[in-house]
Amino acid sequence: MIMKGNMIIGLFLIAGVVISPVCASAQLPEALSVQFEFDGMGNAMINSLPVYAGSIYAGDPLVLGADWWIRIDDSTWPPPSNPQVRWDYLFNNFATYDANSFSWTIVFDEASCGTKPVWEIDHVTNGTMGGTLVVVVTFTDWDQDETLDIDERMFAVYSGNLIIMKYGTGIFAGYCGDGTFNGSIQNPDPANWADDYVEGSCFLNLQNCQIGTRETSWTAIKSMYR
Amino acid sequence: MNRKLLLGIAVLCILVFAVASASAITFRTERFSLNGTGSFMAHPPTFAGQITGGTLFPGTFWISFNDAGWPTDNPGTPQNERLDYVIAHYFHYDPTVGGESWDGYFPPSGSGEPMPTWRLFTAAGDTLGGSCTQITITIKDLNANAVMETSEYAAKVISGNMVAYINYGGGCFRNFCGTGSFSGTLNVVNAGTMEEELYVPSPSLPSGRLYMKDGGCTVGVESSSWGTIKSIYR
Repeated sequence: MIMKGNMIIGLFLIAGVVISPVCASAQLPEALSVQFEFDGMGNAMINSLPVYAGSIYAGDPLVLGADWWIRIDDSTWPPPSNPQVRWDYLFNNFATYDANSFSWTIVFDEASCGTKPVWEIDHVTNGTMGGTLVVVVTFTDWDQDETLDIDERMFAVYSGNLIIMKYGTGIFAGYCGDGTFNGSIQNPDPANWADDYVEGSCFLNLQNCQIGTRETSWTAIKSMYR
Repeated sequence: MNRKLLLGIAVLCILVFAVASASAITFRTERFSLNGTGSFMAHPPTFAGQITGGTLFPGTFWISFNDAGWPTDNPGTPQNERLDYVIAHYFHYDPTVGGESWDGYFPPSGSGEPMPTWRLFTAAGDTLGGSCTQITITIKDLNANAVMETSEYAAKVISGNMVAYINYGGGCFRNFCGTGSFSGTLNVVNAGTMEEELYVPSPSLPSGRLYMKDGGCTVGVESSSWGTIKSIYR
């Protein structure tokens, strides 16, 4: 019996020794900034739900080599079976032409999509983080004819902001925050609905949101004793 | 016979030059990072500072918002009328659980309101300029109470798409036009004056982009005209 008790204590000690270095190495500051470069592919016209995905190829080691994806809620769009109808719907309803800058701008947010687009970063060892985002895409009317020609659909710029929800895993668990990104979209054959290639930069502001969780817990605990 | 031969050679040369000129469009991708200050309390709200990295470093920049119709703050009242107007006019709330935030669009989508304008000046004397087709500012609702607290307004993210006009190009960009984008942070650095810092990261990994070209900037003759007009005044 005493032998068995000692064994259990020993197991706890071993577990403690094993876990403590992991926790120590996983401790990150209260706030940190992460900057990186990414690229990837996607096709919002022939796929439902549209997903743009790729990898992070430069920048902060915390996310270097990670996969990323952005998913767009197309539940309010025409089906991808007829991409022309789908494109026309998006362009005619959400593209704004500006005659001074000779450009069209489309905002992908909760107004143009069923719900706000969502994103995620998955790093094999460091964990995952994700949230919501807004993307703004601008096409240029190079010949100033107020018609978006096929060749003008081959290149666009984009920018956007994102929210980091506190549902991350691994070392990103407990973090929330916001971020921002920008880059370009290139399409080799828009007439045949080819995939888009996207490249860009991203900057994330992470902060420890576990304080908020603790506050909730205290409230819950206090309410239990009322 | 000789005259015909010379004429033929001349026509051939003109054709070769014309084709060469038409196909010899130069494409340039410029990268930049920025750090500057400004305030929505100023008229017009202009954020200005240094180009801190990238292919356009060293240099200076400014980005200016159009504040037509914005009220001025009345120092005799506790609230900030100007900021209240900006938040009410440009921002909308997203109540997504866990992602509660405000997104502000400058100009509001489809409003037809004037766009923000921008300029980049390199120390070498090259200039670029144009409009931002849209600037987006996002403010996180940290306590998810749908009320924008001062502390929440103090730390924001900002991004925008840019159009570069040939008529604002100078120096080595005098015949160039293009598009671009940037993203960064916009944080209050002086609560008393509501001065804010615009930071587009970073000197070591510049995130701002301008995709420039020196052809097809305007329709045919107009493109040449701009170059000609500018060369006259240089």
